[in-house]
Amino acid sequence: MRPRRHAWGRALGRLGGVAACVGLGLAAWVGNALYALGDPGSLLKEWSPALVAGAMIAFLVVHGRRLHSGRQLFLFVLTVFLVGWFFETVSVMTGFPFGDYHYTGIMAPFIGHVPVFVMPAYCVMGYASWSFARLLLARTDAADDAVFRFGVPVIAAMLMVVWDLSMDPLRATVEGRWVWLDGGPHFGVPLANFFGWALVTWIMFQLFALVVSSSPEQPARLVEPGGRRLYWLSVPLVWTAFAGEYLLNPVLSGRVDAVVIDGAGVPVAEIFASVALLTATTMLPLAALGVLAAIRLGVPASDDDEAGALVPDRAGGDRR
Amino acid sequence: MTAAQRTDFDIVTHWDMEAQPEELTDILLDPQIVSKWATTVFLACQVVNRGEADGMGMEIEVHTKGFLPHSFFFGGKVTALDPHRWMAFDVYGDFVGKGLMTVDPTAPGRLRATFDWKVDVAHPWVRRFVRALHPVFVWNHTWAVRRLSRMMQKEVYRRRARLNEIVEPAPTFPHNLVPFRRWQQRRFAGRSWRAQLR
Repeated sequence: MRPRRHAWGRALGRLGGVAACVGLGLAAWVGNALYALGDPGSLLKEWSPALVAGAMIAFLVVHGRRLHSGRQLFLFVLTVFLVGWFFETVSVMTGFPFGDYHYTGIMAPFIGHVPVFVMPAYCVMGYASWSFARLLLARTDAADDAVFRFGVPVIAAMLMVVWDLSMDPLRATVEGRWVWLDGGPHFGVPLANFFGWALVTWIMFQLFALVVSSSPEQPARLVEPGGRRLYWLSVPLVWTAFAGEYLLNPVLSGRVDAVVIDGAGVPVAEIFASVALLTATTMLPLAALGVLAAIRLGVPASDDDEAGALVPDRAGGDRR
Repeated sequence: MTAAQRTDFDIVTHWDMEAQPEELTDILLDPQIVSKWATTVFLACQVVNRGEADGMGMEIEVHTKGFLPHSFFFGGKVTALDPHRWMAFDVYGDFVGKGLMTVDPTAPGRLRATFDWKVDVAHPWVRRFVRALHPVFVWNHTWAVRRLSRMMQKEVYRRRARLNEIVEPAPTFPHNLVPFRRWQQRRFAGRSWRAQLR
């Protein structure tokens, strides 16, 4: 005799991976908050990135399989990995497109001239930005139109740049994971870096958009109609996961030291405060827009929902 | 930067810095830590002879590389100098020839440094490719000098700020792989290469 499941149990079961997406987004937030809490060199600072990376990689898989086929998701990772590695290598050798910089020993190990961890970072934030751009441009269902093919890659690249505006001063100038050889006006980061980010990430997304639009495929997993909003709400949640650290740094960090930017000593606390302000005025409003876009997504008729029907989250899909 | 061929390599590079000539001299006369702040170019450095207080007679042995995968072991001995203006040195090892570093103040607190590198390559297998890959090797050299000049600028800033902590740059491939680098460090420390130098 089958045990009777409670209503909430059935609902949770139906939500399945969608709940996992939200959970993983929250886990990434917690990991970043712990990172902000840790002192330089402490175990918390050393190990909290593992929670962030694990949660975001899992998000890429769990969320990605509900948006793309397994083959498409593999192509996304492959494209991002190869394009990212290629341009990082070219930039180390020539200064184009990001500018002149070198990595430091903190970033070991390396694949060629490029740290291994750079490519997964591109993948997870790249996927979050890609999905977020689809949400903002109302292309949650794959479409074979110009907005999907050319608009989504541009917006996704801009979202990557917005993230990098907050990320680069902290990772490069404060933590010394890489060093900008000629400094730059944005807390020691050159403006060329942001144009480089826009170009390289746009190439990644544009290649992937053309792949997806040229050979539409069903997602590997289906999203419950009732979980559709939650599924898309998890995207701005995970895209802003690093904002947790950037916003908490000025509150939690007791650093009183300074870093040298173009010959001038700048207190780390001042950089933390400025980056927090930047994050609050860029990433957070964008995330709010994403939340609104997710809330406005339509929900299919409740009859289907009650019957336990699964509706593929894309136009023209099958019904079970 | 400009480059012209005379010997295997006769390369003249210029760079501008925000520094006093005396600050540059202090850095050049403190070579023990060059492999800390300029690891991308100088993987190791050992002082053989400190020479006189102004640097005359100073002799060092270094392990260097650019972005290409190979690296060089060579030594250099200061043979003539005008304090804070120029320094000439003889080079032996994987390179054989002469180097000249000149410093010209261009404005208050600013200077132009010129590095003249006239050497033949004695590295056993790199020598075979010198003619065929000459432009690539010149690129490798100018890349390394440009990196060094920018890292030198950061070292000036670090010393001015009296910071003890040095952000150690990572060398390029394959010396950024720990086992490979350890093997190269053993080669450098083992001195087996020095028997071929002089």
